[in-house]
Amino acid sequence: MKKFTLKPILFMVVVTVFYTSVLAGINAITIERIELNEQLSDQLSFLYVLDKLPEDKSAGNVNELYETHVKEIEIKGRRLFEGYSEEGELIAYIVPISGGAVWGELRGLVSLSTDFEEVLGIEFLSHNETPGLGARIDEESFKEQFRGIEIDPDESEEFLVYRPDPDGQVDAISGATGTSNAVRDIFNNNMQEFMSETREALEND
Amino acid sequence: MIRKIKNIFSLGVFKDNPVTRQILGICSALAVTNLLINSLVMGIGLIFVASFSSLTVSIIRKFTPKHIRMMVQTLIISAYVIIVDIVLKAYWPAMSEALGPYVGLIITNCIIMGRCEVFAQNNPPLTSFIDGIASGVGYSAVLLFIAFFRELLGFGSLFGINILGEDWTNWVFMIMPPGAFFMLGILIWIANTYIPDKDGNIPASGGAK
Repeated sequence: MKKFTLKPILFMVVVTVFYTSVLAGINAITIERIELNEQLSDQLSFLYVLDKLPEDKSAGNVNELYETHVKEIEIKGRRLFEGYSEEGELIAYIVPISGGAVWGELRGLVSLSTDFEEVLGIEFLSHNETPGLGARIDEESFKEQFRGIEIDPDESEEFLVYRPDPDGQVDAISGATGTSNAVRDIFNNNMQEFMSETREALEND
Repeated sequence: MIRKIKNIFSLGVFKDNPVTRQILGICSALAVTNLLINSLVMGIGLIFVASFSSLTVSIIRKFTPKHIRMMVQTLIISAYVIIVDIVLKAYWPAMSEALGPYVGLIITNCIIMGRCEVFAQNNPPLTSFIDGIASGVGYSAVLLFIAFFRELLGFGSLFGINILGEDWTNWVFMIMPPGAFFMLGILIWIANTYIPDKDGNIPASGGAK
């Protein structure tokens, strides 16, 4: 039998401790910056669904606009956001949506007018769709289609329908049918949940 | 020394190119090559990780117990990959998002482990460092070559700038993974036909006699 020595174990421990400390150090230096980046990109998403995206995308300016336009509220245990105009008037509700798409979870935001009959904008916060195909849902040309589409709040299932259906509001992405359908289903499921559960509470508010 | 460096580069980039000759790192070569900018950043990331991993492995090669060297190499490689990941997240969040999981997957890129094991384990630090860079450059060159054609044919653009104009119909096949597969196949074919290997033979000149 081979003689047992502690050397390999010690060696491994030393190397591990060394690299862990190096990484911890780098992490500590950059963590603030990373969090700011994430916060900035989140805030930009909220401004985007409200169509209030500024020219000047510096952190300070975006943060200020976010404070003016967006307010977080909680209705029946669900996180929701209110959108305000420059004059401080309530113009929209921003509903977080999520669900399973082709390659993994997709999260996004939908902003609705205060009478729940119009979609003001949509944005996708995270997804794992195929670059060049499904990931094209991130393109302006797809997302911009959602601005101003009318939905029937009393509808039970099909809030969003793709063309060429006569009632279609939006064009799906050709070559990415799976992702397009997933977006539609996630949108419809989340809207159904929102309309049936949260809307009433908001209206009585 | 200059000649030695030249030789290392000619091996890493052409004669013993990690992708076309050693058929290593194929996974990411297929995955991130649909846009030139993604390939470029991935290549730079790999050059960084490959060179510093090789350097470190080479420095500690005389103290590393032989039978745990793989474990040590993996640890070193992952540490450098995490550094790349953190730096991208902090200073270039858009790119970090575009490359997604592939930065993390540099850890399993066989090129780096291969160079550590084959070269850095038996060579002095500086040479190993240069060898890491050379292999990384060889990998990046292949990625950029594939990405050039895939982006041009699939999106009609280069580095995001439209080249082929509005009339060009995007060749969707090129954006999808099979597009990379065919491009890579063609590239290996060209390389094996025109570039001699380290013994000076043309690999594809063999065949039936």
